[in-house]
Amino acid sequence: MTLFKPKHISLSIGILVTLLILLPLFYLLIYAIPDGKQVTSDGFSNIFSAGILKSIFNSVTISAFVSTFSVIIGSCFAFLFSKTRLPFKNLFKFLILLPLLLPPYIFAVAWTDTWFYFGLDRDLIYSPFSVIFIMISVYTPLAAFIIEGSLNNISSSIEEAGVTMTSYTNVMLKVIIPLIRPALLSSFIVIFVLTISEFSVPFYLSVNVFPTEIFLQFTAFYNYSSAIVQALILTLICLLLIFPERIFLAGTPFISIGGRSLRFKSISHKTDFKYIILCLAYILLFVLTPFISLIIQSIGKSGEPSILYTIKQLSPSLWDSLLISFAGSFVVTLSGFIFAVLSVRYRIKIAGYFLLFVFAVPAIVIGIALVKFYNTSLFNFIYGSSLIILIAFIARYAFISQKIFTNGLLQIPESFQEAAKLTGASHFYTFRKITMPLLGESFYISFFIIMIFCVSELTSVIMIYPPGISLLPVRIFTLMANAPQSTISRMCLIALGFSLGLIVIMISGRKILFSQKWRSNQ
Amino acid sequence: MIKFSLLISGIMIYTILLLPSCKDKNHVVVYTSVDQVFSEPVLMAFENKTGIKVKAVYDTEEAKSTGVLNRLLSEKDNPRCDVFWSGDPMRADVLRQKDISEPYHAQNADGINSVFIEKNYNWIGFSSRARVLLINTELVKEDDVPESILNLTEEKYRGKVAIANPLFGTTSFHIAGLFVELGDEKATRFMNDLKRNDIVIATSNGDVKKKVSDGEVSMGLTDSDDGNEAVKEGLPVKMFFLDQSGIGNLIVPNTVSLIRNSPNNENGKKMIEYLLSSESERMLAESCAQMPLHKGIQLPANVPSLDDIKPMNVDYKAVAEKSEQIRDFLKQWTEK
Repeated sequence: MTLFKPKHISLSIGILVTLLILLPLFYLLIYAIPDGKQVTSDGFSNIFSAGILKSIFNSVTISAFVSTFSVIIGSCFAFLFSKTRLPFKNLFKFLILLPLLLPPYIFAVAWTDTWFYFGLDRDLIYSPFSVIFIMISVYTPLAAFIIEGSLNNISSSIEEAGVTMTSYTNVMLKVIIPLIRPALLSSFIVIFVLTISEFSVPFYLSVNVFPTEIFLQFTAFYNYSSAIVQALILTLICLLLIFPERIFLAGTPFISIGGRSLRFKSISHKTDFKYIILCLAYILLFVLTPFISLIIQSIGKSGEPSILYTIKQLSPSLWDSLLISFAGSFVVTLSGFIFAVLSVRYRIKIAGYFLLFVFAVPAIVIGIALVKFYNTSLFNFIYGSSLIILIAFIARYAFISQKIFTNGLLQIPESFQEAAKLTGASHFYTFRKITMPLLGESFYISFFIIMIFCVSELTSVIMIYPPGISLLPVRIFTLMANAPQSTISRMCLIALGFSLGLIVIMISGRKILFSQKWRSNQ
Repeated sequence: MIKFSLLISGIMIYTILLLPSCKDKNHVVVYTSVDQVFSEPVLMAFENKTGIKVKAVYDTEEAKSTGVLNRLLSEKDNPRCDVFWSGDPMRADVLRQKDISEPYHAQNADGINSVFIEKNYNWIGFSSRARVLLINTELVKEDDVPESILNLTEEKYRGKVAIANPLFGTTSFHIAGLFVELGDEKATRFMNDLKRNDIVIATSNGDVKKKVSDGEVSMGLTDSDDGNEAVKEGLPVKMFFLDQSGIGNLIVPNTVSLIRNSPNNENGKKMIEYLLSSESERMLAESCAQMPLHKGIQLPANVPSLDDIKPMNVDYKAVAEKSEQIRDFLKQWTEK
């Protein structure tokens, strides 16, 4: 019976997921680096060239700016959504989410077209500033959603107690911000890693960054050895984020749910008119401008294919994409949850670091590792089916999910489980009746965000999708080449509509599937 | 929560079980770097004609063919693909050099000029594109269009010309062609002069088309199918073949290769015969103005005949090999 303890089940699943991802990466490392001499000559010696050092500097600087500003702006939105009676809150949420629903590359094209239309200087358009601007607009909603989830989990009793003694500004600075520190740092790390491994936007804007170097080694030189050494350096840079995390979170008061006064109905502050104006200004500047550009471009001239033709072109991929995104989101969320439990509840810290390591590996390296490892007769059932895509999704996004669950788990005091144990509740009963309901918000946010990422994931999927399967981002990307501008813009808008449709399903299904009656009954 | 888990578990099992890719026995797997909008109708026509199910993996030159070529390299020991249809001979020759393709002397290759065929039939060329100069007619008068690619280094074209990143695709093939034709010293000087003349480096040939038609630059070197699409869209552009009284204009054929030890080898050979047929060349001429390599195919009005163009007289295999040799130079050139 002891074999079926939650710890053993979590460990077994964790080890299985680790092996599914780690073995291909090790295999690639061994395959690509047959002897140490080659590594030295091909990879490491080049690392210290001026060009590569500059590209590393560019990557780190851009990522630091993007993650800092995204977290600051995202926090403001999260606070407005969670702690105020902002009118049209759901509409605002919906609008700021839009940039996350399209691949960043498409967003970059829409922005540059807009800037050229308004006569912005060419040198300014093709500069790191543009990359930072575009990436902030893409990743701010991600920060907002992660931080909002954390804010929603703070018991209002704590805020109320603070307000009776001091001003709300002080409560913010001394209580709320310390409590959401894990979420702030998670957002920073996730956005930093996503930005530093982003290739398409800097490449389109001719900004030299480190992933460009890696991409060149793969695509122009077919030099796997050098590319993988460079990818390792990129991964190490990302792993360095572990140290700031430790320092920043040292002494964080994680317990935010008061034992006997577990209440989530937060203090709702009246919204000042200026906040509505600021929200509208942000949405107009960062969100609507490029989408208006896409809509204008989608109006075709006579003789160009109709919108029905465009829909017909994309329709074969809609069903496959829907299924695989849902399944992908499920396995990634499950993996993220298991790894969060292992690192928080069972104190197996390496579980969290492993996912950060995998998350930091560039998508193209993940793709090649999966092809090389699973393309054997033994693993044909994986390589020849959609399972290979699900494994790629876990490798790419389980870290984000794990971070979301870590925040949620850290905010549940262990005393809850201990109390359940004292009353004789089994592990599974405690898990089902206490942990799962309290993590409902985390499950929802993880599933929601990961699904958005799965729907638009291109770089790794284009390497591994089995022949005969048609996925939306791949189909759009391959149809984009040589299609008229109006068709390209329409395809982007259809992809956006598809993602929005999924979101509507998620929001509609939320109340049924993630029922949290205990919250509303307070 | 339980309802949710059950629902998603059901979807997941359905996804895993119902989306395996190899259920049809009579099929052929094709990897192609030719834009899907053009290649898919040809592959579907083969499927309709023969009843052999085509399972295609598409990629695009915009993505530098990262997907299919890296896949083919990675799958070398356990190939999944039967036929590789490339947009240029360079990638096909990478497969030959790495022993991934297998010689196959297709019957339909017999009508094609041997200059477009690798001597051991590791790859065979068909429907071709040309490298062209695309100009914005609102910004450039026809009198100001250069006659030779070498004229682009002149002061009057400073900052007005775009070229795709020469490390990739047909542009790298074009530059390698110039190195073969002009010799290393002269070609290196030409490239450095272009750089000094503030040439704009675009991400792809499609991006060159966009930059020229948007008026961001006055002219740019791109492929004839990109130029043709811009003309079809009614954009203010016109295409020119260069060096018609000099070294000639580079012609870039599609190529097809049979993959060594491929799982559906016989169906792969049928696919190769179809791609090399007059029927597929006609389809590509109609859809994207590609010039057939077989003689006597009826051409649409917008498609030039190869007989009317003076081609750059190069050994395609030598060009493919040269493109490997000049990569370091081109990387430094793009970074300057």
